Amino acid sequence: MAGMASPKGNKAEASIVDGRLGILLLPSWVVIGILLVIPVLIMFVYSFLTQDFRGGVIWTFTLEAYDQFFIDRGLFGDEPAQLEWTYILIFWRSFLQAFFAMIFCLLIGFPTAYFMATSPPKSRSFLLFLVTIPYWVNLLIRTVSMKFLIRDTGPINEWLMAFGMIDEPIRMINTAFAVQLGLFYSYLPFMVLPIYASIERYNFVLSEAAADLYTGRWTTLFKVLIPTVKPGIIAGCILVFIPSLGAFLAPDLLGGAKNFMIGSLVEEQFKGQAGDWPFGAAVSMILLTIIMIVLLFYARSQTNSAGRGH
Amino acid sequence: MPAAKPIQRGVVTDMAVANKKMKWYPGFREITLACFFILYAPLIIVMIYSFNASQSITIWGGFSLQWYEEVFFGIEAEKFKKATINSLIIAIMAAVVSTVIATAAALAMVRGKAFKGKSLTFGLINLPLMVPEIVTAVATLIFFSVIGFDRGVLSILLAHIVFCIPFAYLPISARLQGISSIYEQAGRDLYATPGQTFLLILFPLMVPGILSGFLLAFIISLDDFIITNFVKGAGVETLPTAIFGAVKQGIKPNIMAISTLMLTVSIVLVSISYLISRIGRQN
Amino acid sequence: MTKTALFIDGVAKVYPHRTNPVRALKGVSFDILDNEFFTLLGPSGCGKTTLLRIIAGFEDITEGHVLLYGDDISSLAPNQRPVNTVFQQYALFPHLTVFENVAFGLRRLNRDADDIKQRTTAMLELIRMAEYGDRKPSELSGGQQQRVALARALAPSPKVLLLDEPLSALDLKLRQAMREELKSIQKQTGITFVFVTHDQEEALAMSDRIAVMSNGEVQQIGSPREIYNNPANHFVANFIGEANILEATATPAAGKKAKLTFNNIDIGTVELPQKLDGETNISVMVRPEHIHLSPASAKTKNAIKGRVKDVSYLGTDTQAHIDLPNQKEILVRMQNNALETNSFDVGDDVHVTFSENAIRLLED
Repeated sequence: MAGMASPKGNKAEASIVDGRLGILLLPSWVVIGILLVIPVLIMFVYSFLTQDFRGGVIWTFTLEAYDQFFIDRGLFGDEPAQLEWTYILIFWRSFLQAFFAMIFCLLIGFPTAYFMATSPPKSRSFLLFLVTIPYWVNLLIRTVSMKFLIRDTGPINEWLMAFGMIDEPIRMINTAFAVQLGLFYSYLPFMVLPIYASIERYNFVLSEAAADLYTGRWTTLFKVLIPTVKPGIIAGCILVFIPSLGAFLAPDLLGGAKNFMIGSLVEEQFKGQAGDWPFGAAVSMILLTIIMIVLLFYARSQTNSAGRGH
Repeated sequence: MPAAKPIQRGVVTDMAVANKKMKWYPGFREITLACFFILYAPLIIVMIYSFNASQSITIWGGFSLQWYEEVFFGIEAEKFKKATINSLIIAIMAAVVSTVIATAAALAMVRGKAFKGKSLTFGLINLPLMVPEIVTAVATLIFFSVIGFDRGVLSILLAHIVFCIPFAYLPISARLQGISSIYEQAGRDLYATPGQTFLLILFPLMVPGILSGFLLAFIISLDDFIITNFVKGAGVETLPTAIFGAVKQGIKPNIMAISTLMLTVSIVLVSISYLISRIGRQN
Repeated sequence: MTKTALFIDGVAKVYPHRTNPVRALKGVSFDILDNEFFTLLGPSGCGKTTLLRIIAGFEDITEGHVLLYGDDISSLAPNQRPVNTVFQQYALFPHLTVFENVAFGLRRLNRDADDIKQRTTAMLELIRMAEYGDRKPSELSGGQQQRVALARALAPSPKVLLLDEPLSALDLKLRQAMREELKSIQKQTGITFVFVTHDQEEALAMSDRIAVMSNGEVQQIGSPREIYNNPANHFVANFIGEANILEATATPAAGKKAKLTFNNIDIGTVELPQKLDGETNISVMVRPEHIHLSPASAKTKNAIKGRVKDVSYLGTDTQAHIDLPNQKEILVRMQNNALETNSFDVGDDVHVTFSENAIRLLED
């Protein structure tokens, strides 16, 4: 390859960091190792401990927390064991809501990313700037803004009533709809940005070649462009799905008490009334396991597509 | 590449028109407008209502700065001031530390040879992005409680440093990948030692990436609610936890004023980061 | 006898790989003389750039040594070698001014401030860019950046200057002008230049000597004239200029001489390295411009009969492929003259002749 020497091309080349890799990486290893890897391991251990009153634990091994999650033994624990549906349903509902948030974000985000990436360069960088702002604006403030907007006495209801279109406020706040809207609104920029990045790198000569070979507009989109930018689409889906699944702010501020998601369930064990740390640790472990499985599939799909590419 | 078709005069112009239109899809423009409307409408409405003179939160009563006055001088002013100072101290320190750590890591990961455990290290650096925030929050809380670490500003700072590392790492490593290693070779060729090559050549070229990384880490720390909420001690508040506490009691107009102020800070920081990256690209 | 500037002593380079390690250099040895314009010429992947980077110190050697005026520099870091490089894409530091770029090496060598200023200014004058000292590299044209890269590498007065395809990013006209300039700067400074290129015309025009490389090995070293006129083997013959390789039959004649026939036509007598035992087939080369075409109607002695396959008009020359009866074809290049006498058409029967002095023997 001519031109600038690529770092990959010269493996033997002496780089200025050679012999110093250990010292350069040590801080990352230590900080992330001690403050994240070890805590997750401790949390894993914690999920097998016995609950003490007032938020503490007793250091005796028990499967109590997982038993509580999966198995129903009645109010006094003396009935025959049945599958406990309460928590599984919370997980299922969270899963569905995260899934739909991902779908809605994709349906709006893909055309937006496409439109941005095919705009003239000047307006393109302005549009990118516009998407970046909500991405970095405090999620709490964005969620509060949404809460303000859709409240019973919020501007939407006030305006609709002022124009006489409705007689009494449409109930939006504290519904599953509000949570869904909140998740969609929270993570929409997370979908747009990676898709935008991959469409911007997409070589439109491929589309021209398809058109040249008698392919129609929509067929070109689905058979040529989308398969090519798939890594960006999958990255966007992951970036929406994972934080949605563990979301706390949207269900808490927009959903109220009835629309519990995993995040609220966990929070209640530590900050709220329940005070059951082992149970909270167990719920977190289950959530983490699900997400690691999703990420594993993601990594698998990435290496597969990379393998096919070469 | 498609083989060249025999060119006919009439067809050429038709194809030029078709080419221009080929990238166009019906409805995409409208969806884009809708997307921007959804993203901005709530923020803009909150901004507008923060200047509302009316006591009622949703009825427009004329322009006024009274809620801003309340933010700075009202009953809750002291509480928000303290929270803001905490937030700034934590965000600046977390951003500085995580940027230094991320810069060192990026140098090793991008410029270093392949070594055993390189992909594991890459996974480790990005781990805070993969673990859901609520899980990180729980794990960190349990960790601090087990080792008996006092929960306060320091515990929040430590937790923030961890999840700021990947955010700082991203733009720094991207920038470093964009700098051809030929500049370092030229430096070495002109009698610079490895240390001089880093200080005089690589570091100045990395500055835009390092600044973007610092700003991102700063914003991420400033914005964090979930982890902070878990690891903060009683009575220690950052701006987001203070706002959350206030919102729990109902949205008052001063919350909208604070939100507008924070929104402005975010926009300013994003703009700075945007300008830096543009200057960086021109170099 | 001129001094040896660089001695490349059995240098081999292997890029390790689990399944197929790449042998970029297979143990090459040669001298580069003091004050010489020496060119490493070869197609991409031949090992010429690897060798240059080994001399500069950017790659470590798998086997062998590099000696600079008698000192083994093989294990020195790039910053410890009194050798400077002009990079292909110039690699001017984008954050430093032109002046600071040129002064960079001098500063690292801890020259005193007056010396640095004087030397840098002199270098900028040498490249006729004295007034550009305050500019940033991004404000310069490609040709100007090229000259600054040259000045920067020359400023510390290296014992050897290495140039890695420095002209390849320039357009044709500028490239031709820069050839002259590079050559005159080499003569002015008296520094040994080691120049890497894949462009044979560039190599022929500038070099005192050329090493033709292919496949990690040196095929031939010599002056441009030697390499063009007496290519050592098929590769060199084909890579430098265009060549017709003919399989001729040699029959022993007096002494080491042999009589050559091609298509049963007597094409001349040549001297071989050793005496022939009997009739043998050997490869000979004839350059296209040494071949003469005449109409089939003309009476020509010892002519090979052929038919014109195609004719291309190239401005100064006309080039034609001639089909020979035994399925072979040869390339002929004729200089166009004012009378436009080279008017052959496709399908014309022609007579192909060349002088016996135009025949070159090739090894293997």
